[in-house]
Amino acid sequence: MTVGTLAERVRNRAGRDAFGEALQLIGRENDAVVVVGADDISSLRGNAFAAEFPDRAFNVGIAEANASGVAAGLALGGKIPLVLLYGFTVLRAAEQIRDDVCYPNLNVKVVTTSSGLVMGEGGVTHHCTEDLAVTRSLANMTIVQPASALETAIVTKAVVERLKGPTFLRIARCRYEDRAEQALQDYYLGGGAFEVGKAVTLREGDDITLIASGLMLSIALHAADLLAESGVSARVMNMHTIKPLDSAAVIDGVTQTRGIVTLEDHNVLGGIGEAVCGVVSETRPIPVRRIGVRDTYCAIGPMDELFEKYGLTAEATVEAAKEILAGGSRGSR
Amino acid sequence: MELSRAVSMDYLREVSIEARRNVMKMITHAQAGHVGGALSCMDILVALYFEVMRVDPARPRWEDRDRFVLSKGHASVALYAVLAERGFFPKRDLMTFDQIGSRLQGHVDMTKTPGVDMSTGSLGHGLSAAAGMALGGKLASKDFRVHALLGDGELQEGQVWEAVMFAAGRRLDNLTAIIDYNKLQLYGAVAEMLPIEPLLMKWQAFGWHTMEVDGHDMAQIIGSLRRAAMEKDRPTVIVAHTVKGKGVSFMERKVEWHAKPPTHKECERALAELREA
Ligand SMILES: Cc1ncc(C[n+]2csc(CCOP(=O)(O)OP(=O)(O)O)c2C)c(N)n1
Repeated sequence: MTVGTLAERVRNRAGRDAFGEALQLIGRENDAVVVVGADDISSLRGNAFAAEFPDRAFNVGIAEANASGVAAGLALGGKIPLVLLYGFTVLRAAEQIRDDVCYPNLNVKVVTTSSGLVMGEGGVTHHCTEDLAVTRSLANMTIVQPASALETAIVTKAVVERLKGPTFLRIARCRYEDRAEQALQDYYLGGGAFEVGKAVTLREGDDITLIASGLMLSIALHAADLLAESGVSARVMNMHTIKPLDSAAVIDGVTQTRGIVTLEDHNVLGGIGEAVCGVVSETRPIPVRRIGVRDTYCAIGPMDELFEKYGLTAEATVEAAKEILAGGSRGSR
Repeated sequence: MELSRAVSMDYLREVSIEARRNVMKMITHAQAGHVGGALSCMDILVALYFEVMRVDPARPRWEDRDRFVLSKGHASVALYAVLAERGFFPKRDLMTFDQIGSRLQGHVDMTKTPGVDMSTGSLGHGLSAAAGMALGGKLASKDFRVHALLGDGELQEGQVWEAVMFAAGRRLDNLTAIIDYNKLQLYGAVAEMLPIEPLLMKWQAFGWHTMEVDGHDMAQIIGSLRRAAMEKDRPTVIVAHTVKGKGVSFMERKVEWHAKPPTHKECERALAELREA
């Protein structure tokens, strides 16, 4: 299937719908692909796959730790299991993911469509702003977070077909915003490739570098527009692979611009911002500001309102960028 | 101090209907919330808060109160409706359910809502916390009881069985677990997804005193909760056979009503049915 056809199929769809679509396509092409779910496979859109391949979909019930262990066993039998989990239950199955999937380096894909604050109304137990911190610290783990429906489909196919080993796929439950959809449509339909571990610079700029992925990419693109209005040239990087992080791209940001702002729908502790800071401080320290949840449990509410409340916005990004450029980089926000 | 009042079964049934009506209104207003599993456990919550448990709405943190853990925290609306009915907070607050800044979160939060004894929402945690509370009561030589309500699908979580073993091992006779056995979970029937039967035998094998009741028969619920309090040296589980969506004909036994918010029209229909009941 060409990228064009794929783009048609997932146009205007939510991240999880694009995932479900890709999952079904991959299922048809490769019968080693199996799905392990924990009750709610429909909200992760594994239901179409399960209906078409009932003997390759295993719903273990509300038992995420068991699901992860079972997936490890299936991988040992030569299958390619995708474990469908709510974001917050990655924390529950963290030890199984570490001991049974990552430590033996098995080909298991852990997929969530409800990480971050996308289940904002569910309250703290259903928010998930810790999953990247946990999965980043698991050796052997690859973490990918797409930022549009098309990219979700492309990434899902790619990590199943080309990537052997433990992978965490962090996909959005809702639609990605138009800015990101458009930018990535242009990129992929224009012949751009998805390569694990290779960030994509969607916009060139030489004052400041904005690094984001997933739902935050559109906010970074919006911030870049706002910055352009006041004469600041911002580079925007789609850091779709969070681990291994594309250090070379970060270093380009370090040497070619005057500062970096990172964006994530995650605690700033342990997330993308810290990953970037790690690279920056090991090369040539320049100011980095991290947009994200600042080590707190969030209120209840729709994701957009929570983004406003906790400063995960284009305006806050612009402010952080301007502070860096004004030299007021000391002190934390 | 005995705060429970001797009340007639008719009165309790009226409270249940009123609370169910408020559940419908809250969920319809917020266009969010888990309706099916809230309606199935409602009669149990009413029996607990209006007849069995020693609580004082004026002192939600009273040390000697009986405790309740809603392990299936997604049924928050049921607990909110009952707590408001019992006077823990004003009923007008119910309509703030699931709004930003509200004390009434989608899943129960003990730091926000008066009368909530434990924060829950991720399934499988509640019985462990309840067992810890019961153990704490023993250590402090207090005579309060702890009740935990679990979903039937929730029993698929391994942690539940760790707590089951622990509570029996510690002889926590001040602990009662209640299973809201409505036979459905999120995506389908429990028996089809991952069977939990033979359920009573499982708990018995783990050393628990077991009872089985009709979870919509007030007299049976209250009777079993009272008998549990007399049991010595072992915890009690009450397997309550219930109907998911109970009280609203078009929701009963329908898996799609696990968490679907009703339209305003559907809400009107439900309220009318509940008025007649
Ligand atoms: C650990 C965990 N996994 C998944 C969920 C999502 N979830 C919410 S309700 C539910 C089904 C619960 O079924 P059951 O325990 O039978 O409750 P009831 O049918 O009474 O609502 C699921 C899977 C969750 N809240 N927590």
